[in-house]
Amino acid sequence: MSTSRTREKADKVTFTQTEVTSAITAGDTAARAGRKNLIINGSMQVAQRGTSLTGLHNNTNYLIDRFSFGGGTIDGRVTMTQDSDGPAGFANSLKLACTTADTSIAASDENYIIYRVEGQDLQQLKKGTASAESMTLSFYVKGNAAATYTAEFYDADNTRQNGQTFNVTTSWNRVTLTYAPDTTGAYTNDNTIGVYIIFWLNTGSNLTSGTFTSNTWASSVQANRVSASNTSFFDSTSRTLNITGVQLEVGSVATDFEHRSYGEELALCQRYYQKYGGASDWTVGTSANYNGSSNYLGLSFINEMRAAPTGSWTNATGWTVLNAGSAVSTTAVVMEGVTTNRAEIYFTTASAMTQGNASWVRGSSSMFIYLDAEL
Amino acid sequence: MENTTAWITSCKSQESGWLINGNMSVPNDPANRDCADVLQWIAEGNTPAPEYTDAEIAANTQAETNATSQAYLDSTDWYITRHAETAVAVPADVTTARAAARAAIV
Repeated sequence: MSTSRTREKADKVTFTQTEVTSAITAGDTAARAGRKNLIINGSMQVAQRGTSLTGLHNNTNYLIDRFSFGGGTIDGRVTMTQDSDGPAGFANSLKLACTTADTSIAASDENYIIYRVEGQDLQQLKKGTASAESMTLSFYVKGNAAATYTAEFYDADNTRQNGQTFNVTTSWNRVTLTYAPDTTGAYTNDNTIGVYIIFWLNTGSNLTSGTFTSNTWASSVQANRVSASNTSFFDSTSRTLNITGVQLEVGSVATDFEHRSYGEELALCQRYYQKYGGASDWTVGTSANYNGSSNYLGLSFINEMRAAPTGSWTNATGWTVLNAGSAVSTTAVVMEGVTTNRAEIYFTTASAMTQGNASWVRGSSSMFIYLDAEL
Repeated sequence: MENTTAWITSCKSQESGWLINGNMSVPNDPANRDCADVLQWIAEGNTPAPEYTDAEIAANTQAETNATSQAYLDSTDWYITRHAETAVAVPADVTTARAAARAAIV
């Protein structure tokens, strides 16, 4: 700034408008330094469930942690992968590739990438108050060809919506969308969904036939949710979309993406999803034989989870219970008494265990236990 | 919108939730998204099966009997060993109980 400041009088310094704007922006950025990104795993580096899912079109499909692809039943299909392509500084992106086109989009069709945020993590937006804050969503995108999609915030607590379109090119570009503050409808301060962030990729006329008003909060009207200019991701089997660097921050300025370590992101993701196993002879834990065929194991979770999770397992049979000098194979598995940090796993075996003995339970490299507390 | 119940192909009651599709325990926690789906599935007129069928209850009962009986046999084997090695008689009540335990094991 010193190069252009002019000393008019001994006690007066003049700045250009550009310098003033730059200084305000710098101050705004500095004020929001530190933990600022409300999005977990925005750089798409954590993918506990795997790196590829094929044949997707409906329901909720998680691959990269916290981000899901979903929608209703249509004829088109996509493959979702954790891709190694990314803009400078990003090792991963979420990639969707259309594998089966569908050019006959029904009125009720809809497909999207969706991210869900707990209401208690949105309180700093002061939504529903006179001092509500604006917020800025930024992300990097790239496609096989030019496309236009809609990024919508959908307030689950108050059924309100606010969407904006964004453009995709064949190069990595950072999209920055600032959303107006909403003085109506506060987010409930709890562990359930406060807001859905929806990247609409394909929609029928039920969502586009009304009046789409960009960057305007309004009570939800289905027909107004998505821009009529929205590209259909299913228009061609050559259609692709990569996205990464997703950041949501309070205020009207998109600051540099907040990179967090893999371990930190993983820990944040484990509030919503945990995966155990996959190694040879991995230890499930110590357990006790209730009787000759019933074995109970207490599982302590890695992290406290958002809610009592759904527990699932790859195999009912084949878990090894080491007991009194012998190995017994399981015939059934059930999880009971699940809380946000513990669960009881009940293994059934053939009548070959000694009642009252302690046991040791192992899994093989292809055996997993999953805990799912996603929103 | 997404069909939230089509993924449920079987449902059994559990003490604190439901066993879905044989490999998934869904807790009865309203904040769990799968719980919401199960409650919707029930609201659609479906009824969870009991946690255990009659056959499973019988099998579990037999398994407990087997374990208890085997434990008794294990704990009294020394009478048999002592008799074989030293000719000390096995008490009659032990002999009777061991016979009952062997008969109980299926």
